[in-house]
Amino acid sequence: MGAHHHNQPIQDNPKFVFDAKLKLFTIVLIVIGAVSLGLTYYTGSEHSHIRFWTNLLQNSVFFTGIAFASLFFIATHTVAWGGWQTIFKRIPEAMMMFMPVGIILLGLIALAVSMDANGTDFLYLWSDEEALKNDRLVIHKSAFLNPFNYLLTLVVIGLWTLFALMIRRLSLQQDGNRGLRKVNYEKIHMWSAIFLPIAGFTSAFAIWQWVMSVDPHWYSTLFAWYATVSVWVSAICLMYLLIIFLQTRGHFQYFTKEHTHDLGKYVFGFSVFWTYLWFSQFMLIWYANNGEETQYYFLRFEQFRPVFFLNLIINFAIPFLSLMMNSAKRAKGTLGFMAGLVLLGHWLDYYQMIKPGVWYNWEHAQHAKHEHGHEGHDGHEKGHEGHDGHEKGHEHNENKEQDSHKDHKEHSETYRLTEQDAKPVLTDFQGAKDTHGHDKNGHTNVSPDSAKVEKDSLHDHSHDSTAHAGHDHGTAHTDEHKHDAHATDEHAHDAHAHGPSFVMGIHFPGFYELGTMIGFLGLFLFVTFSFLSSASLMPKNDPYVDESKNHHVWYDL
Amino acid sequence: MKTLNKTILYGLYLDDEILMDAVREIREEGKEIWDVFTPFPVHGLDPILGLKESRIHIAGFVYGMFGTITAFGFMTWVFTRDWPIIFGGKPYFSVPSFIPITFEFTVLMAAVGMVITFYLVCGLGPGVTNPYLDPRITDDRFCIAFDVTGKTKEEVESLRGLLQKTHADETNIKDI
Repeated sequence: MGAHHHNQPIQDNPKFVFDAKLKLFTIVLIVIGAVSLGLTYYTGSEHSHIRFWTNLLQNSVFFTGIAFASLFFIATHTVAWGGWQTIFKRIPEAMMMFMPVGIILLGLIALAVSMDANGTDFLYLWSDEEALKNDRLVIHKSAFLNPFNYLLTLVVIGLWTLFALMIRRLSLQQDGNRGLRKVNYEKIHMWSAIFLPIAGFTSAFAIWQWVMSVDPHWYSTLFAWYATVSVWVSAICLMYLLIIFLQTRGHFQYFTKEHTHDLGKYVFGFSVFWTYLWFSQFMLIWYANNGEETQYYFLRFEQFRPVFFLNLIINFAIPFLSLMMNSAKRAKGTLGFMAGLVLLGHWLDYYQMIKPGVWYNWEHAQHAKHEHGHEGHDGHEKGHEGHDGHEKGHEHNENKEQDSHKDHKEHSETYRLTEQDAKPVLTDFQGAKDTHGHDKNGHTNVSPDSAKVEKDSLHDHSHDSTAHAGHDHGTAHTDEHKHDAHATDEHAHDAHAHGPSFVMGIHFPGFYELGTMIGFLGLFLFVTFSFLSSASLMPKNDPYVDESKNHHVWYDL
Repeated sequence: MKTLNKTILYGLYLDDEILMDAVREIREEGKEIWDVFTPFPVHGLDPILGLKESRIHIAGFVYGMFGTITAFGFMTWVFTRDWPIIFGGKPYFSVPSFIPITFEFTVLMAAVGMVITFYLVCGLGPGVTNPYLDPRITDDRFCIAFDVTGKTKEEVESLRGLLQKTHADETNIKDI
């Protein structure tokens, strides 16, 4: 009600025209992105390939995720009989149509991974044949992390797209036929209800494959929620930015401060929820201090500290403090600025989910190449598992020795093996701090674990048997492989000096990263605007449209 | 039962939308409304009635900050000065492990503090009873009430006329 209290009738233009000027603008953005992405590949730098693949992956996942979250937005609000969002629901309905583009983008990556393109071995360690032979954690997880399951994620986006097409078609049908207003609404309601549980499980599956498998040694049960909430906030921010933009062109004049307030509550609330999940994941890992989990944060904290903290400042501290007050959530300028910032922040969040893991894979492979270039396959493996000289000595022995009794060991000791594998990962980083400490260990062949026993005391009870087994092998064969340990130790200094160095585009987004993001944003906007222009912005026959038009407007503020 | 020693003229409305329009119209006439009673919170009624925004959220912020500082300060003091113990190999002053308790205590202080403040400000508490105009205003009727203590018959009738003009379903006078 309340609309009749307005003095002047509202002039709302429901027809959006994707004019030539705007088209040119988005195409310019796309070109910037394509050029940036292309230049990344051809910079000739030694990390250009991983930089290219990570940029492509990060942006493809991020924007496909936003499209998914838009569909999720429609589905949740419809299932909850929500009405307030109806006047702007054509925006998420257009945004979700980016999903077919997402199939192409992630399809390209899937194709590159299955064809073993240059650099994809570091992007996904599980696609690396050497790792599949030698890295026991990768072998253990290969039943789930494999090219087939990765291709299955394309089917997942395809499934989402089917729901998106169905819901969009039903919604657009209403425009021309008032008789369908109830019938089609109920159908949308039904498809949304079917979609939600499917979305819950499939999004976790997809995000594990796309993003989490970049760190195949890592475990986190919380990751899928954390990553999904990240795109959910981003989708809401982008929705609001699009509304502001379209308002300047005479659309969405029914969009009031109450709608702004509700979207503001979402941005605020889900930023806090994102932080809650971030912290839940962080604190448990930090407290338990299990090597295979801590490694993830250790890497980010030691080598990616600016991104690590910027992520928290942009996505938590700033929106939390500035959107806490009611008036800030209702003000177009404040919320618009925060929406832009938080959108950028969550892009950065995906950046820090992907880059460090790939950098780690690459860096270790490089060390292995230096140290064991002549050994071929073995060198590769050691690169992933930690490259302390003495560790390698042990591993080497073990590999040879274990062949004989591998069969019965492999199944019964899976978990022990995985935990043992994870330990060198941590040792390696601790080694990076005092490079000289373990030279001695290597020569005298003291247990490789001894240096870190204090730090890792939590593990010890579960480790005793395997750890000792490992040491026994080591001591028994020390003499044979002594020269091997020497050789690696000499290179250890090089390797560790490599660690903390700062690489633009890896440790912090560079111009190419920003350019790529702009390009993907342009592509996303191009698709969104195309679909926005093909239908009325006002779903006039939606049963909730009047409620949405007069959303809480009892008085003019 | 507590008495206010007031004579109240009130009108009962059937719907919150009718009530909103009535309140708006009565205030445009310049008549002072004593109070409005509704069976559920009606959004947007406060500004129409000319009520100021509640300051309870400011109190809530202060209580919350009190909780944050108390919890964080107390844990810091205990684990670094009073009784330092190493948990899980972590330093004595380890911020991440303080955060959950700090958060919980902040929420607890803000919530409990605001409830107590609200009860004190409204004069509510155990054993308090309030006079009521009509039992139906806790069910399905919306009520606008005027304080007509000591007013002349003409004034009362003009107010009653205003209530009826704004589509009140019935009007009554009651001493409470």
